Amino acid sequence: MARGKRAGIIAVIGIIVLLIIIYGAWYIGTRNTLVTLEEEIDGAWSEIDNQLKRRSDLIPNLVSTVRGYAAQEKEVFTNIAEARAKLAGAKTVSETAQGYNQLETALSRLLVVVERYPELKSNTNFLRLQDELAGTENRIAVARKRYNDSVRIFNTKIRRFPASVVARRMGFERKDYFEIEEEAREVPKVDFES
Amino acid sequence: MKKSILIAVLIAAVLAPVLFAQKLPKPTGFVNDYANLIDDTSKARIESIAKAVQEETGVEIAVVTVDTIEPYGSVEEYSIELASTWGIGRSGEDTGILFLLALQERKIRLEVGYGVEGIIPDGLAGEIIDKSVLPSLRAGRYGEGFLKGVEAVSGIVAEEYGVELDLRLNESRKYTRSGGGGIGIIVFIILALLFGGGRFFLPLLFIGSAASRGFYGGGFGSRGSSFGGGFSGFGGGGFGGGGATRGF
Repeated sequence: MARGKRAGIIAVIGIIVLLIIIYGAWYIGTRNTLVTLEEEIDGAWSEIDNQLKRRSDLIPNLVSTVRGYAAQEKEVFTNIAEARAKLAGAKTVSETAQGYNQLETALSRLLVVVERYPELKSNTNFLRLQDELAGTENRIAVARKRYNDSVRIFNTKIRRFPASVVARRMGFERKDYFEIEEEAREVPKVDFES
Repeated sequence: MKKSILIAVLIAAVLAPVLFAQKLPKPTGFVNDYANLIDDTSKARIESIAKAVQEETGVEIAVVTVDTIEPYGSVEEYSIELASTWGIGRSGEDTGILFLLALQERKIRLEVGYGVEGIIPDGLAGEIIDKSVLPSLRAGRYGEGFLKGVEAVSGIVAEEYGVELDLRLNESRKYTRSGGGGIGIIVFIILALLFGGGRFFLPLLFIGSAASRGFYGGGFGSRGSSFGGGFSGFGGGGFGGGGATRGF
């Protein structure tokens, strides 16, 4: 009788130990998943950052080419310089989005100016820069989509039970989406027809 | 009655995601002419060039024509989605190039993978479309336009990788120093000068052998399968959104 009781206690202890191990494994597994997702988000963000910088570097070239034909359009150039500076100083995701929007507006004004100078539009240097700029815009759009997709997956996971338990304990917080104005997403096109 | 409706709804719910995933077509070769615009001769030539480039450099070139890019919002969105899903280019090296034509939207896009962006930056991509592809497209000669575009790109890639492709890539001469088939031309000139008497005879022999090597160099003509003699899918390369778009 006593032996049966002892076997019973050992069995219960065994089950408890097993449950603890399972819980521990799940906990560590979930934490690792969250860390991986966070790394993906950081990677996606740095891609956006790279492309924004690259676009920023292209702009002085573009501006000086346009200036060669339309030096009197001073206001447009000032707008661009200000917007560039603001974007360079952005620290958070939302500040970057704001800076992006402002630069977009300034650039579209520049393109409106360009419309008035047909010799400029057929300048090969300008065309090449236009393509480079459009390419960077497209890359930003792609990087933004990938970033936001990663953020969505991460945010969803840390809000849902049971991963939310781990998230709260380990200090994982929701990430911001990179939201920009929809019109700003228009990739400027080079068109021989017009 | 109610039970069968419930079953029908459940089946629909399960199938729906599968159906929506069918938005993108599947690749059948280097040339995927869903809009039926490319003539067979051009298609064959493009396939053999693409195969040679893939074998010699690992760079994968795809040509796709579609009627429309709907339900995607823009050609750029469709292009990168297609290129990434198909995984054009060698995995890890990301050496993929896609020529995409959307008929209804009248747009042509050259999508360049991460690994080729250094060789073909956006400005050059635009130039290639402007100089080599657009004129033919505007004249309605789609096959010729794509062929010239592929020749141009192949020549640039071959020069970068230091590879001698066994093909005549005439169009690439506008972009490269050697023009892809450069050595062949030099030999031809030397022969023509040396054998003044047989001027019409020997050069013809030379061109004949070069052409046959070019057409069948990739083993294309010998096998008659719809995959163009040995197309085994794309390598899983990645794209970042580089390239250029033009309207025609």
